[in-house]
Amino acid sequence: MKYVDQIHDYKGQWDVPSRCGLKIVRKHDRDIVIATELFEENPGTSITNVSAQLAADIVHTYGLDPGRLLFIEHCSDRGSRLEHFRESFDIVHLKWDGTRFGDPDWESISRERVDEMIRD
Amino acid sequence: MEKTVTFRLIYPRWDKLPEQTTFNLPPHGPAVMAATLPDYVDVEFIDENLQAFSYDDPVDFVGISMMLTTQVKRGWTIADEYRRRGVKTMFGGISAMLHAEETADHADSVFLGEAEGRMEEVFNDFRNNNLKKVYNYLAAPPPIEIVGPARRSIYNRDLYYYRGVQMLDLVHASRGCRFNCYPCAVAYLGGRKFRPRPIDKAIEEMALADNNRLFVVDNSLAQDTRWEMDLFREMIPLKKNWCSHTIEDKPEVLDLARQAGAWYVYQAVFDTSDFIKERIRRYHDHDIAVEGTILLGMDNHDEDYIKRLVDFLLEIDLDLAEFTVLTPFPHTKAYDDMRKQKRILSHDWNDYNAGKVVFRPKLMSPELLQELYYFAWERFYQDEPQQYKMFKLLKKVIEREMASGTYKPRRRDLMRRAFADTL
Repeated sequence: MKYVDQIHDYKGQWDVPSRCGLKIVRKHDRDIVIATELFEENPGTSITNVSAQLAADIVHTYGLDPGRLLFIEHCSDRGSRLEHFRESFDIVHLKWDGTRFGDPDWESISRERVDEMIRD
Repeated sequence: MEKTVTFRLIYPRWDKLPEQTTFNLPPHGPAVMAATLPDYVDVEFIDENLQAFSYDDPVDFVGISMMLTTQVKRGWTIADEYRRRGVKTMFGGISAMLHAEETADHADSVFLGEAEGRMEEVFNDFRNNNLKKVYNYLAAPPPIEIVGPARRSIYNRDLYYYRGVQMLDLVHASRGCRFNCYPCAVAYLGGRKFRPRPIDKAIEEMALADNNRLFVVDNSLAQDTRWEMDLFREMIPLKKNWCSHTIEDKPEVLDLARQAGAWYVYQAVFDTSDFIKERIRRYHDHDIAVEGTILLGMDNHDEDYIKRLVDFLLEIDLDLAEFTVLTPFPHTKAYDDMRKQKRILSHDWNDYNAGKVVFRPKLMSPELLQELYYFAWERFYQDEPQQYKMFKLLKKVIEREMASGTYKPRRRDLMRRAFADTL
């Protein structure tokens, strides 16, 4: 598998069925995972609220190496009058303790930088 | 005969915003929950904002119903004391769901979701000493058709009068919301699907409320034009006056809303655009008053913007304005964004009363935003005080009621009593 681009179903907080957009690009040195918040199309917990669990779920489901993971959260432009709903990308820095991810820390990045990362 | 369970349902108190005129409306959540209780449950409701209670009173089981984040710490304190005395406690309601994990530390049980069709199980488990730590029905809302009228008989009615004037009764005609607004957690709580009640059920509920003035508390009525118009059409014969959140901005809908008794709406005012100005004008053209809900501290707000916004509110002749500070409640995009950006300054939930700055604004200091919040209240009500504007709104509804023959005079026996006097 070199590339995944699909809807991913996951369990949110209190096991509420939840879903996000998912893109996985496997590069020679890392696996870039981009989870996209679906807002109205996500019936459950936001990706930000469960980022560590979601990252673990994706690693498990797609057989990724936690050590090679670069996890990015994406919120698409909502076409809103409010700037809170503009497009955003954040790298989520996660600590891996051998069994689970924890301590998420977000770093905002530009779309250009994401494009650069996933470019062949 | 089944043994009665004595169930005390408590609505914890919280500190009201000093800038806002304090009104205590009969809380809706506890009455909705009480309507779902099995027959063998003898429920006693305590609204702690208006009633004192003693932990020594004999009760079998205590329920704590919480709507606001700023209620949760008080709710936990009450539960801790009851549990210390060996009385089992269960939490439910909006903020119990938003703060479920923390709340579980203070509870024998936390109920997540909507109560209809679930309380037989919960109380059976209680009677069998087999209460579950969590009843998780967040993803399984009941069919909307089974939602019946709220059990308003649990209220001590006399408490919900101010100087002899009866406060509004709360009703809901739908659940869920298809919108996903920045500061709002409804999408998480109620599901992102709009679930309108059958019109006849909603009308039955409104008719049953022994009150000519209602607050239709639906998140937004502007979600399904046909249902909204059908609802308004059926409301006309009730001859009740009501306030609500947003109504759809179409002349035919506003016209029906007015005929159905629309008194005033809560309308978010987020900028100084012609779009907002025209929207307010159209409400006014239909003789529907507007209480603007104004959130301060958005990322595009600086000092100049907020001052211009307040002037704009005066210019468009809002009937009332309610200013709040953006507050990142859990399970909102606001919370997610602030958390990512490390801008949250306090996780003391008592501070989350929407009048205290608990985050770092983008274009000003937290202190300046706090000052501008006070400024906005003062400036807007400088020439015409809040109580006078409210009186004008009350006068409007009295005139309508007199014209339709539905006016009920103030209760003389309660004319000397304000809310705080009952405690």
